[in-house]
This record gives sequence, C-alpha cells and structure tokens, in this order.
Amino acid sequence: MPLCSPYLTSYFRTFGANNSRAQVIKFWWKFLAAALVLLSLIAGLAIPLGPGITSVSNTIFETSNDLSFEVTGYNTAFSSEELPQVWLQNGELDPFKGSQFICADAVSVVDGKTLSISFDPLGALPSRICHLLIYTPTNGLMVRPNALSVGSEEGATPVSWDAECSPLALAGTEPGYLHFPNREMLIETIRNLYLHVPMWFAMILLLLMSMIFSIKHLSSSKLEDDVKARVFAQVGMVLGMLGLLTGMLWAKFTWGDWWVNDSRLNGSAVTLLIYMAYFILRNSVEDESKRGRLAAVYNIFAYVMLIVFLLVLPRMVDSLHPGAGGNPAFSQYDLDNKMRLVFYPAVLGWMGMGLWMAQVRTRLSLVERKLLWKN
Amino acid sequence: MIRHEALLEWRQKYAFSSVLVYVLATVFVCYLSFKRIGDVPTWNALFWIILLFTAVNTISKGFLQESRGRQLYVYLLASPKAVILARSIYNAGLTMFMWLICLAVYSLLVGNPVENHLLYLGTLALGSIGFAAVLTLMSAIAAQTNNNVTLMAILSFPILLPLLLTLITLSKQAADGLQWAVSSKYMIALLAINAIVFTLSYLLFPYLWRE
Repeated sequence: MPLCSPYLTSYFRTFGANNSRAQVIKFWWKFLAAALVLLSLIAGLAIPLGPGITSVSNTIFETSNDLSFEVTGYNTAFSSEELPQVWLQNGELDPFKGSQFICADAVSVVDGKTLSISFDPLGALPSRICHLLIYTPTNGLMVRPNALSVGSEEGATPVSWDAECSPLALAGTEPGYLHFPNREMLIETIRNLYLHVPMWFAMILLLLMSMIFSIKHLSSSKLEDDVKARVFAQVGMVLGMLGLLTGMLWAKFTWGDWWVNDSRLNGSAVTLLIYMAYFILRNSVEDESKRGRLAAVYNIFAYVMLIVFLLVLPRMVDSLHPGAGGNPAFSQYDLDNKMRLVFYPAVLGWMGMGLWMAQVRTRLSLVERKLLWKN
Repeated sequence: MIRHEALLEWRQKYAFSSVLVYVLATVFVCYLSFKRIGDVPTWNALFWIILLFTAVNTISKGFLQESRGRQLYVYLLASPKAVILARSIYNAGLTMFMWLICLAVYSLLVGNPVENHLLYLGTLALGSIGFAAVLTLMSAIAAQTNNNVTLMAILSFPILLPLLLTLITLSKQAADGLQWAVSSKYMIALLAINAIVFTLSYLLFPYLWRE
C-alpha cells in the first residue's frame, strides 16, 4: 500500500473535486473525441436500415408471356391493408432520360417481407433492362435497379404505354422513421463506412504528424521530437491495420474476396511495408542521435512517396473504390445527409482518439527513458 | 565530382564487372527457365524485376563499399549537396548503362516484342534517373547501419513501388506500340515523381552526411 499512496494522492490531486471542471476544460478535445467515437458507434449500429428489395425470383423474362415473380424485401412491412403499388421502369434509371413505366396488373402480399407480382404480356420493349419500383405509404418508394431483363422478344406486339401509370409524383418518398439508405450489395455493411474510412483518414493524419515531428527533429535534434515521430507512426500503423481489417471484411462481402487487385488495397499493403521498414531501420541502429537522424530522413522520404502512391496514382487507374474508375464518389449520392451526420463526427472522433493515444504513448516512452537513466 | 566518381569506379573494376556478370547471369537464368515469352505483360514484368535487382546491386556499391577514410576525405573536399548530386547523376548514368546491356541481352535471348522503341528507351531513361535518386539516398542510410545489405532492400523496395508501377504501365504501353499522346499522362507523372525524389534526396542528404 505505501507504494501506491503517492500514486493515489497525485491522482486525487489531479482529478479531485476542486479541479475536475478545470480538467474537463483543459482536455476538452479528448472528451470530445471519445464522445464522438461513442456517438458514431451507437448511432452507426443502432439506427435501422431503410426498407429495400433484396431479391427477385426470376430475373429474365420473355415479353410475349405473362410475367410473374416473387419479391423479397429487407426491413419492409408489407400488409394487405395498404396494397403496394408496383412499376417496371424500362430504359435509363433516371426517369427524366426518357424511360417509361408499366404498372403491375396484380399484386398480392404473401407476408411482411414477400410480395407476389404479375404482369400481363408486356410487348416489345425499347430497352432490355427493367428496374423495379415498389411503393407503400409506410415503406416509401423502393427501387431495385436492373432487377429484370428481357430474354427473348419473339412474337411480341409493340408495347402500349399507359400515361396515367407513373410513380414520378412519389419520387424520393421515404419512411417516416430515422434510417440509413438500403443499397443493393452493401445492405447492412454500409455501417462499416463509420469505421473503415475514418480509420484511414486518422492514419493519414497521424503519419503526417509523424513526418512533421521528423522534420522538427532534423532541425532541432531534440530527442523528444524523435520519440514523438516514432509514436505517431506506431499509432498510425495500428489504425492502418484496423482500417485494413475492416476493409477486408467489407471487400469479402461486397466484392466477394478478402483481397482483390485494387490500387488502394495495394497502396495500403505498401504503407504497412514502408512503416515496417521504418521500425526495422530504427532497431538496427544503436546510437540514439544517429538513429533519430536516419529514421527522420527515411520517414520524410517514405511519407511523400506514400502520398504519391495512396492519393495520386489511384486516380490515374481504375479502382473498385467509390470515386474512381467510373464509380460514384461518396459525395454524389451514396452518402446521404443522415449518413453524413454520423460520418463526419466519426472522422473527427477517430482522429482525436489517435492523437490522444499518441500523446499517452509519448509520455510513457519519455517516462521509461527517464527511469532507465536513473538506474 | 562526377569525374571523381567515374575515376573511383574505374579503380574498382572488379565491382563493376561483378555487376555486369550478375546481369548476364540473371538474364540467362530467366532465359533458361522461360525460354521464349510470347505474352507482352509477362515479358515486361519479368524484365522490370531484373532491372530492379540490377539497379539495387549497381547502386548499393556506392556508399556501402566505401571506406571510412575515403568518406572523410570526400567530406572535407566537397559539400554534401554536391556529393549527392554528383553521385545521383553518376548512378543514373551507370544504371542506364547496365539497363541497356540488360535490354540487349534480354532481347537477344528471350525476345523483344517492343513496338515503340523510342518510348521504351525514354521510359528506361526516366526510370534510371528516379531509381538512382531513391537508391542513392537509401544506400546512404543503409551504409550507416549494421546490417546494411538486407536493409537496403527492405528500405528501398516499398518506396520504389509507385515509381515501378508507373514505369511498368508506361513501358507496357510502349511495348504495345501506343503513341506518345496516349502515354503522356504517365510520362508527366513519372517526371513529377522524379522531380520530387530528386528534390527530397537533395534536401535530406546533408543530414545524413554530418556526423
């Protein structure tokens, strides 16, 4: 107990009742970061997904025959009291680019998640691709792009359009409760956005800080700067690995494999290699001041090349990631306002947590060194 | 300074010829294991792997094999910025020379499907400059540590990757016979990377040199 007592007294001195408000004000950013991460985790996991269509029972049809299929929804609440309205949209997904609508002839509700839909023979369609639209007042308007396609058009008479039949007035209607968008392929994994992307942003920030401390070390030769450069690189690596793991999980779900040949994935692998090399370099030099200098030079060089690799080169080649190779970027329509509300706090929160971790580790390293010198 | 480097090299003929023999041996091994490669991407990729190891071997001699005494002598005579510039330029020339020999032997044995020769040579030239700047600085770092030969590879390979990937894309385009206009995007990227690499090693080297 006597060993602990100075510890405890200093603890109470720091966090005692008199001081607690001052402490909160002084370390406001740490509390803010923790709160933001907590908020993003809770909101990101607890808010339900909006209703969506997960599968259609037959996806290829012949225009001269009757068309009937079953639709399975996700988070949907179909009921026979409010019979869903169903349309097929033929042509471009954007209704203002001259696509046409066809109303379903019979819709029956099997259960809350399943609908049975049938159309009379459609006739020859101008486009082979059809999108499926379903509307009920509680679920809003659900769209499944490219849901059905025309297999054969033999013996079909030209289609006759019904101008009355159009869901345009309902465009953008959504269920009343707070929800995240339900995108095909992503479904529930859309929540990974609040972990994977902020971790990468935080990693880039921490590695940048590490490089800045390396520059400072070169100009000042202070040992403290070198320690900081090391620690920031370490914490950045941890976040980078977490980002990579969450990314791999996501890739397995959406792209079907743990690792795909994508410029950003390769970039992340190179990041890990570069910083492993950095730590090996540090360990292979005995002399402290020399170690600091060599590591700083390597760190600066490595970071610049890393930025070239991670941020410049992927823009020149195709990537599976959003925002590259013709994929829509998050800013366009993937990231809607409700998601932004969770995403930006998550980015700030993870950056703050990273800085906090680095600060604690820096103190630890400095204290360890002091103890080492004392003995 | 460049003359000084060349003179040193001439005195260490055995090192120079060892790299030369290394190049010949590597290409020959590839020839025996692959015979002829009809597929252009494979041909190109294999060639760049050979070039990568050739460059590392060529340039790692510079600082690693120099004695302490001679380093001190050079240090007294010239400023570190002059040293790194001279050495990088000299290494770029040397690497280019080795790569040309590589290309000649490789085309002789494995075949040469390149259609736009001028663009291919231009890519090699730009590549040798970038490689020389990166590897010279890395060898300067590695020379100051204990396990320098392994460390040289560990340090430089991941950093060379952005350069290498751009080079492979560009040289594949050259091999496919695409015109200059198509490849100009990569050409500019390569020039930019070279400029960055040169500036960085020029700025950072003085910190390694002072002791």
